[in-house]
Amino acid sequence: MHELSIALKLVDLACEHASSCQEMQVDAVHIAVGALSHIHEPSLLSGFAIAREGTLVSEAELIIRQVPLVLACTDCERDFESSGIQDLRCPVCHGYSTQVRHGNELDLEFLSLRPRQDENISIGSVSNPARI
Amino acid sequence: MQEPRILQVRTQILKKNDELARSMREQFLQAGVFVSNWVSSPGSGKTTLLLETLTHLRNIGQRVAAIVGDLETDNDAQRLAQSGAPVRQIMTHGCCHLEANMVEEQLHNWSLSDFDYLFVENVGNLVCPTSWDLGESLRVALLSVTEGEDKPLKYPGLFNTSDVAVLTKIDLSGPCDFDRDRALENIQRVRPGMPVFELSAKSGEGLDRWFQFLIHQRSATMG
Repeated sequence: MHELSIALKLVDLACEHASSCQEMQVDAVHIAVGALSHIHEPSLLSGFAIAREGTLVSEAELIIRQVPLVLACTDCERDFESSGIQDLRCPVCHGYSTQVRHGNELDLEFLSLRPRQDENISIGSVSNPARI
Repeated sequence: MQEPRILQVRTQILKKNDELARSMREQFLQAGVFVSNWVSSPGSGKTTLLLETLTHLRNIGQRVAAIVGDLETDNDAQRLAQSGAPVRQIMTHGCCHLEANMVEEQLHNWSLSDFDYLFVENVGNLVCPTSWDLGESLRVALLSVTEGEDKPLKYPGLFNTSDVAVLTKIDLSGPCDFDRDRALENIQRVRPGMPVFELSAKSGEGLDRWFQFLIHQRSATMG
C-alpha cells in the first residue's frame, strides 16, 4: 500500500506546480510509471482520488503512461526491451552485464490545464476533456 | 472548448525524498559513517543477523549504531540493544516502509562522526521499501531459505534495487528442501552480477565472510 504515500507526494508536487497558474484548472496529471517500479495501478488511482480532495488538483484525472523495461547490454553494446521483469539478463548473449535504461521511472511528466470557467456562465456541456 | 494548455514538469514524484536522501548520504560520508539499508520480508532473519553483526563489529573495536523500523513495538530495538550499540526504534504505525525523513528524525542528538557504521533495518516488506532511498551507501536484500527459491522472481523490484543479497538460515536448507542453485540463478536473473552471501546467524556459518565484506565496503566507500 505504498501507493497512497506516493499519491500524497504526487498531489503535493502537482499542486506546487499548479500554484503558479491558479487561473487555470488542472484537468489531468500525467505521470510515467516504469515496469520495475512496483506500482499497482488501481491502488495508485484510488490513492490519487483520496489525496486530491480539497487541493488545486481536486478535479484532475490521473493519466498513467507505462514505461516498459529497457536494458542495455554492455557486452553486446545494444539496448533491448525486456519481455518481463523476471529476467534481466541479456536475451542475446545471456550475460549479466546489463543495466536498466528505462523501467525505474516514477515521474510527474506534465499537467494539462485549461482556463477556469465562470460558474455563472454556461458554455454548454463539456464532454471528455481532450487527452494529449 | 479551448485546447488544454500543457505545463511541463518532468520531475520524479519522490523528488523531495530523493533530495533529502542525497543530502543525508553526503552528510554520512563526510562524517565517515557507512550506512546500509536492510530490506526483506518479515521473518527472514534481519534482526538476528544484525545483532550478530553489531556484536562482532563492536568486539573488533568498530563504533556501530542501528535504527530499526516496525509498524508497532520496540521489540527489535530491545533485541539489538543487547549488542551494547546505541539503537533507535521507528514505529511507523501502519506505514509499510521507511522514508528518508523518518530516518533523519532519528539522527537528532547523535553525533554521526561517533560512528563507523549505521545500520537501518527497514520494515519487513518485499514491495514498498523499494522506491525509498534512505541515504544509504549499500542496500542489502535478505532472503531466508524457508521462503523458497522463487522470491526474487516474485519481487524483482526489491532485489533489482539492492546492491547485495544475503541468503539466511542456510542451516535449515535440508529440512526445507531448499534448491540453492535455483535460488542463486533466480537472484542473478533479476539482478545480474549481484554478489550473494550465504550464511546462518545461528550456526555462525558464513558470518566471517559477511563481516569482511562490510568492512571492505566501508573502506571502499570512504576511500
